Amino acid sequence: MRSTTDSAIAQAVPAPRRRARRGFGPFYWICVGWLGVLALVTVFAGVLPLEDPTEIAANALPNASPSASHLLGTDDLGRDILSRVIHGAQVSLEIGIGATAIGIGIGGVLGMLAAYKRGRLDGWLSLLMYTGLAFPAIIAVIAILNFWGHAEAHLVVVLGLFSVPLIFRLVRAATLSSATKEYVTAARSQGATSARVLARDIFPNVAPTILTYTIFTLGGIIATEGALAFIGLSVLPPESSWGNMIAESSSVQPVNLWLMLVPTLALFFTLVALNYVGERLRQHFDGTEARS
Amino acid sequence: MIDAPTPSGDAGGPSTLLDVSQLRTTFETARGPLTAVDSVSFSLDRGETLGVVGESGSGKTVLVRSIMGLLPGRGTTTTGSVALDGIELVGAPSEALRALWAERISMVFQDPMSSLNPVQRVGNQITETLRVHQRLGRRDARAKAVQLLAQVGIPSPAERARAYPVQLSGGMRQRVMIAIALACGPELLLADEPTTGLDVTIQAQILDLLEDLQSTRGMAMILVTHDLGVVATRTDRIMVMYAGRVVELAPTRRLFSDMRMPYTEALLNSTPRLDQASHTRLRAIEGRPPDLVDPDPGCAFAPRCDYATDQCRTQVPPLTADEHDAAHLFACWHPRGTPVRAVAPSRSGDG
Repeated sequence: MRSTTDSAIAQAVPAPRRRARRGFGPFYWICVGWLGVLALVTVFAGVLPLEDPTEIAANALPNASPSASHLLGTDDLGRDILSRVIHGAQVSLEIGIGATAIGIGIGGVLGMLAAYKRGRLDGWLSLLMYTGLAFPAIIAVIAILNFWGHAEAHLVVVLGLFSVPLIFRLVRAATLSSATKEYVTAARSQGATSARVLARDIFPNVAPTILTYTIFTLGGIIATEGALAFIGLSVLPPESSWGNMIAESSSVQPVNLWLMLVPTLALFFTLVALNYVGERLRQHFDGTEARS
Repeated sequence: MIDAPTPSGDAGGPSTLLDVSQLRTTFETARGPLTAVDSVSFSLDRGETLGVVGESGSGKTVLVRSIMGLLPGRGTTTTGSVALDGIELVGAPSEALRALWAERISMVFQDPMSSLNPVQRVGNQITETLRVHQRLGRRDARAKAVQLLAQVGIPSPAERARAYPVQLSGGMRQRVMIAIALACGPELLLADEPTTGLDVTIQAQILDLLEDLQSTRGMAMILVTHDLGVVATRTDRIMVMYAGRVVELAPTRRLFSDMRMPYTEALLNSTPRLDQASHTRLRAIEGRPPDLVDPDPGCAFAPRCDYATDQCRTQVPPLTADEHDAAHLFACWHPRGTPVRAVAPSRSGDG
């Protein structure tokens, strides 16, 4: 008798742990695939059979079309475009990931603290962050890099710091909505310390927001880096980055289609992929929240 | 102060577990301070069940949260005294409170839908408490959690422990909440409308469960509700609250047989009863609860009271004991069942 009831209940309640991964759609997986390939290629750029991206071979043909020896052709100085675009991806991703880590690290932690502690700390931090948001970031970044010098590390720090206010605002809002929920009071009423409540009860509820905006921020910073490189404020030639390759292609006469298309499309696909993946994840998490 | 008979018949000695005196909680609002709980005093014996009754906004929830010390700090002031077994809780540092919470005093929340963390498996939410307070290892805590889930009547508890709250029904979630609250074997359980939002049949189950667990554990309980019917058969004493004050406090039987405060009477008249003919019109209490920011000078219930006099409108009646029955307290200038009845308009006596 008992077992009948149990199995009836077991049927009525879906088994835990079976979180469906379906429903993201093929385009999502294509985007994830592109980002995966990009990550692999940049990590293993050193061991891939690629030509030196900066070496101008004596016998190389400038502006060559794709061929077996140069899969994506060569640029106006006869350098391998595939090799240059992959090394450019390295620069983009390094700066993107580094700056995002700074942004999420500072903005995320401060946002959670401000929303959980409230009071004066929240007041001052919010004031500071809104002042930061009011700043025209790109102009400030250009000015700072011009004075400070545009080494890769400087870009990471500056872009990272300028992404803090937005992340702070988003994480603070997400934390605020979680911290005022009854389950936080319930956890406190069971004797959990603030640190524990933050780590075990609030963070898991804020994590989806943080993950989603990590991805959006990464996209935003890669785009900004591209723009800065285009105007010559990122790594300098002969080192390659997507932005400076696009800049170079625009000054070459006659137009080298491959030199222009390859870095542009790489940048374009990467940004589309990041934004789409972020958006799908956001929708997914919103859906899970709505069900609870 | 109030010497209620000990229901469990303890072997003499001081059996008072909780002693609340002159508890007052105010919130800072844009319009000025709002007094949500005012001059509340009562005591509770070990193993006793006290029902707290009143309509929405009468200060029931704020009262239990003030007792717990759970109210948000900013803009909230709690004064008076709450002594749990001689330990003062009002103004106690948060570390001291944390040590008492769950171990000695615990709370079941109003809404089981929102008081469980949606992203944590329910088993983890129980082991969390056990690991913090009882320093149990992962495995022991898990075994204890499953055992607790079984105790609160959850079928196949080992499997349910791995479920997320979304996967459980409201009644199940409230059982989980009860399991969490009872995990460390508290001496006092504060149940704040534990059955709101549940089906009537489930309500009865949850209340029966609480009653069972309470008697097997010898735990004292404060059961908050807006439904007199809920507390009628499950409590030793009932405290009726209105506008943040205690208006009547009596042993359950005596409250129902001999209610003195017109508000209690009105509350009972607004509850459907089986012994009335069907389709008997319920007497809703006219008017609305008073403004707590800018209260009128007299008895808070006076504007809605059938028996109010000028004295009621100018002077707050003190909470006093019945001259024949020290355990029965009420705050009324013209209590029911006394010769003041001449003042009262005659009422149509149906039912």
